[in-house]
Amino acid sequence: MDSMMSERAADPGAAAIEREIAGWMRGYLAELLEIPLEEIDDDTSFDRYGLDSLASVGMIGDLEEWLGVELDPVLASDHPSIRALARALAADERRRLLLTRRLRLPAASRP
Amino acid sequence: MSGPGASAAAIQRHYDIGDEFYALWLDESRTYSCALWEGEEDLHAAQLRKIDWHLARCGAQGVRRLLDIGCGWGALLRRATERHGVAQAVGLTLSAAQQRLIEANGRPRVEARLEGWAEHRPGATYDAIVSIGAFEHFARLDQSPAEKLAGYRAFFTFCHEALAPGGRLSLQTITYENADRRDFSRFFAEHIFPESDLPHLTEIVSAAQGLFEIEQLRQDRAHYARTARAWLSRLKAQRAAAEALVGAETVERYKKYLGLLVLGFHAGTMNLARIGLRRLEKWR
Ligand SMILES: C[S@@+](CC[C@H](N)C(=O)[O-])C[C@H]1O[C@@H](n2cnc3c(N)ncnc32)[C@H](O)[C@@H]1O
Repeated sequence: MDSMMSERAADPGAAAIEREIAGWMRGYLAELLEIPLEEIDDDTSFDRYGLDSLASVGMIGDLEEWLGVELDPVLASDHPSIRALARALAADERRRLLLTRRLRLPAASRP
Repeated sequence: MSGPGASAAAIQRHYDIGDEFYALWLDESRTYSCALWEGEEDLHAAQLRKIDWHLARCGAQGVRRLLDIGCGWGALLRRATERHGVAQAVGLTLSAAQQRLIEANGRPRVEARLEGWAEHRPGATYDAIVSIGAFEHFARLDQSPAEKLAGYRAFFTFCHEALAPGGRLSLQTITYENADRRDFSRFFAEHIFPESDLPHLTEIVSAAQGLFEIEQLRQDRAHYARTARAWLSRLKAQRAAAEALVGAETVERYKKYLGLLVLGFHAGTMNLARIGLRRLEKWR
């Protein structure tokens, strides 16, 4: 098992957040790019999808709006795929509690 | 005519959308350029440090006459006269709103003029010149590289003639780093800074050659990423008030613009140069 996997398995709260965010992003990209949801791939880079810096800043702004949590505009360029971005957001401990509440997820088993 | 770069109309489209709107998300000195950070202080302290850095760089302490090219809302003019013993501080801006506000404050040793540097006729020479965040407007995207360079050359020639012998110019500007004008975001060009093109550092160096020696150069893009983050954060916190002033669409546009600034400086497509220059004297 690689370290990412074990990290994820250790915290079901983070895994749920990651799942929710990835789900939102698939829907967002499908609508933005006008392609079927099934064709959106979590590991394809935003670059490959043709998102330029303006679209990437716009996406983070819309995600921020949906989550109700302030996000740094560089996130999508530092974590340039659905999986990478969702995982990075879920990995931030300070943010996790807030996101758990905002996304109405069951509270994580650990603090 | 405002000079070789952006026209007064283009500048006013950006800066004259309302003093109160900018006051909502800039620091209380209303400084609209990259701050100078040290540690964990707030935006205002970092902006004042930046102003002090430039005033020290151009040797403004206790001088008779100081010129600020692109003076914004006048924070540097005020600080120069109040804290650095400058007897007369003259500011140039193309924004009518900025000029009105500075003049309305009625500070006796501060003068704001609604004119570009190319049309400014200094009554007497200046002992020091500062220009912060205005050089970005001194060239247009539709100019050839030669025209662009000639415009910059005209700027340094103006500064050379306006300065007393041995005088200094402290310049701060955004530059292209790992990008060029072909990458310049259409969004920036159309909605934020119409008619403006950024310099490459090499263009600044070559335009100043033989007129000024470069005494100091700092590259501070991380400082601009942090400044733009602070602006963006404040704008979001003041969103309702901002929308009431300029409308939701404009606020959305500024959020994107500030986000792009953060991203550009973070990624290194743009950099921020602070350059201390000294007037060269003719020796032959
Ligand atoms: C980004 S603001 C920076 C203002 C100020 N220096 C500060 O740091 O807050 C740019 C300023 O440059 C001025 N400007 C643009 N083109 C100019 C020109 N050709 N001559 C004089 N001022 C100019 C604008 O009117 C505006 O005041």
